[in-house]
Amino acid sequence: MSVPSGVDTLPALGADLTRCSVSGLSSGAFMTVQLHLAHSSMFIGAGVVAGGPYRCVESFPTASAIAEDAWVQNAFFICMNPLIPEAGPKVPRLLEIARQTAADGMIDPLHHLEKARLYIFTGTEDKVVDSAVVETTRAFYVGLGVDPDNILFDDRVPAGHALLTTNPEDSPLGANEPPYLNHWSAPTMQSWQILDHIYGKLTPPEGPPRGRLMAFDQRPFFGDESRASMSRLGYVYVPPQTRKNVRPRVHVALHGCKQGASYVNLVNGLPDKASSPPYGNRYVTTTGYNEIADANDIVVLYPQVEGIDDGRTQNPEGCWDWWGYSSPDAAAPDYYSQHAIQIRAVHAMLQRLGSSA
Amino acid sequence: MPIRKASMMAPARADPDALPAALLRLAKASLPDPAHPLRTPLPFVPVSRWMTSLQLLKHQGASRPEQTMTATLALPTVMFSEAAAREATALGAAVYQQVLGLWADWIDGLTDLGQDMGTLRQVNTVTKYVDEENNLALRGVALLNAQVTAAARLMENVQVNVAWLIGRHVTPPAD
Repeated sequence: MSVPSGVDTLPALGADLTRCSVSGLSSGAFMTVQLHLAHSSMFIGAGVVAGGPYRCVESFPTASAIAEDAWVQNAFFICMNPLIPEAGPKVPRLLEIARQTAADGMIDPLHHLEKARLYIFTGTEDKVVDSAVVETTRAFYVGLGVDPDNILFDDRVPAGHALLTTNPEDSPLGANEPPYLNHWSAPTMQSWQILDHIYGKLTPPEGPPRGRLMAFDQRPFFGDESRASMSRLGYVYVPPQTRKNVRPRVHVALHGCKQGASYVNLVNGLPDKASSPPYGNRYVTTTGYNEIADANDIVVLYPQVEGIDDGRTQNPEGCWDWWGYSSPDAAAPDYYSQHAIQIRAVHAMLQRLGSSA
Repeated sequence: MPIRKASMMAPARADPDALPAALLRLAKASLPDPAHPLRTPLPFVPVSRWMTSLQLLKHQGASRPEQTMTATLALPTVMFSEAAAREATALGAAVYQQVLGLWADWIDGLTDLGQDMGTLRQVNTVTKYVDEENNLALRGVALLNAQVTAAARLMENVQVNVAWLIGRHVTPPAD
């Protein structure tokens, strides 16, 4: 497994791994919740933009006698687009599942979540993940014992399915289309609001970021297994060392479907390589995470997923796994625990950032 | 395989080795490829297509009877449930809205296509003319494809939601 020229290895920065945070959009938001619960001892908070609750696809396991069909049907029709709110996920069942998962030692004990700070957002014009589902994410965290005062739940902005930015070239606020980055008239990026809520009042950015955005080889972290559906390259933003003897914090920023750096749109079922737009670069460079990180000693990790639809792994749109496509056994899927291949990979990346050179 | 089109940037110069290479590839594609075990050799493509259809039938056969059974078992409970009646009414209204949305997309798509077909453009080459005519035809097919896919998705959405809602009346969750 040779490292291509121009690609770094993920640096060891001695980061403070007790004060990590994570946020994501859509499938990245579902994975945010999974990563948060799996390693809640490391994360002090999370930002969920248009994402549903933990293990949502196991709401209605008897949707089909074939397990993998049931998970996908749950994903589409219960966890994203229930026709009416009553057909959405039910919090008590998902709480029961989460508690059992913790009792089985597959995720960190849930008491770590008590002081967690949550930013949960759903746009009123979101036609991809229904607002009623995102509301259950809030109720789920409250049910787990998170102080409701620590949850900023915003469901009033007429936004489509997108992370919101102040970039004039991004899509109109109500759009539900690639690159799923929409422009809003707020004075700051949504990413700044997420980090501000999680960490408390942060120093506002002054000018463009002065740190270093690095591409790194992700393959050692997932063993180059195709079922992980992870890209060869991930990205990390390392801010300049502004304060001596301060260990940087780490924020994990998870893109949504069709937003990975190597994602190629499908036209008539084939990758449109002739005109593939660099959506992923936009997520890594234009969503504002780097600017706010720059001013506050925060390292931003951008792990990347890519599209695979090869008859074994069904993930053509490059989504993070929240319905079990990466599991070796569909009947006993593991996309949610510390052992899940994607969660294990991101955790290993964090360990590297936390180690000393 | 690149598709040559009327773009100014389309690579047009012919490669003398291209035809032998294509024939060699065709020959190789007729044999099993250990690097792509899921790819069927060309002579067996009809079998592969049949197996894909069979797989869908098998999966549907596993899902639908399960959902129908759940719904049937719940019928006596649901028939006299006020909550179930409310949900059924809301579900009906939601499906109606979705159908209206599909119609709106269909009408919008046809209007766009019709307007583009009726727009006078400058065409200086036969290449561009052929490309534009084909583009219009492909857009028509894409519109039809989008409608059929969306309708199938709505059908599945209704099936899963009805089974899930009815099933919960038999074994209500603890909320």
